[in-house]
Amino acid sequence: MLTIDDNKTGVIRLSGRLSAVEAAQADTVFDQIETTCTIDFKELDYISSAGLRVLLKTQWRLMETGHGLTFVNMEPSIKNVFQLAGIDEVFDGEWEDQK
Amino acid sequence: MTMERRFQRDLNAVDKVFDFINEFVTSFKVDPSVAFPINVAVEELFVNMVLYNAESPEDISIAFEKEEGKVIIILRDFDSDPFDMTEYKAADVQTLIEERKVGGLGLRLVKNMMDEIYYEYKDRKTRIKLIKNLDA
Repeated sequence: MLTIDDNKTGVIRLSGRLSAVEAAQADTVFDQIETTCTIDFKELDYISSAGLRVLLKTQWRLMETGHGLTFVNMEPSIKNVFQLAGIDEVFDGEWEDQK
Repeated sequence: MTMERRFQRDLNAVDKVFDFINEFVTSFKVDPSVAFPINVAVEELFVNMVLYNAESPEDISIAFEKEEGKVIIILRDFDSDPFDMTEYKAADVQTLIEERKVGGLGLRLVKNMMDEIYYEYKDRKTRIKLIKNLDA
């Protein structure tokens, strides 16, 4: 189960799981983002390629207008998924300490 | 010792697959740190079977074994077309980034998270065997 809290302007908090089951739900929220936005991963326990695709699609779209996503509070296991997929550097985030 | 279960060809069955992995990890006392990569690898391959072999009426089988120093995972799809993921060459990451694509991520994760991958196809049956080494 995925919970997406977007009550605070410019910040989206993810909690739970972002697998193929939740990707469509995430898409509907991320499709609404039109400007630079922070994604808070603190409560996210799991992500797979379905979740990466949601974030990557959003990032490509935002980059066209000079905007982008910034990732904060990523657990090592979540960070690792982005790094093993090779797409970590596409996003602003605290990647260095894991390398 | 093996644990095997069959799952409906349905994206929503992924949650049941996670429950099954959790059962395996708990009952075989597998190091929790490998649960994450096992979840990802199994989800990616299961979802591919659901999406790319949608017409098959058969359930998908997932089995786990624990041996000395490793976990063995076997996914079997019945009445399937051949697709050798071990031979599949996804676009490299640089091309993906340059062209702003989103494809090939799942198989890249499986290959990078598992230590060995074997593909077999015979009589319309697909069998994918994954090995994840456990730290001593």
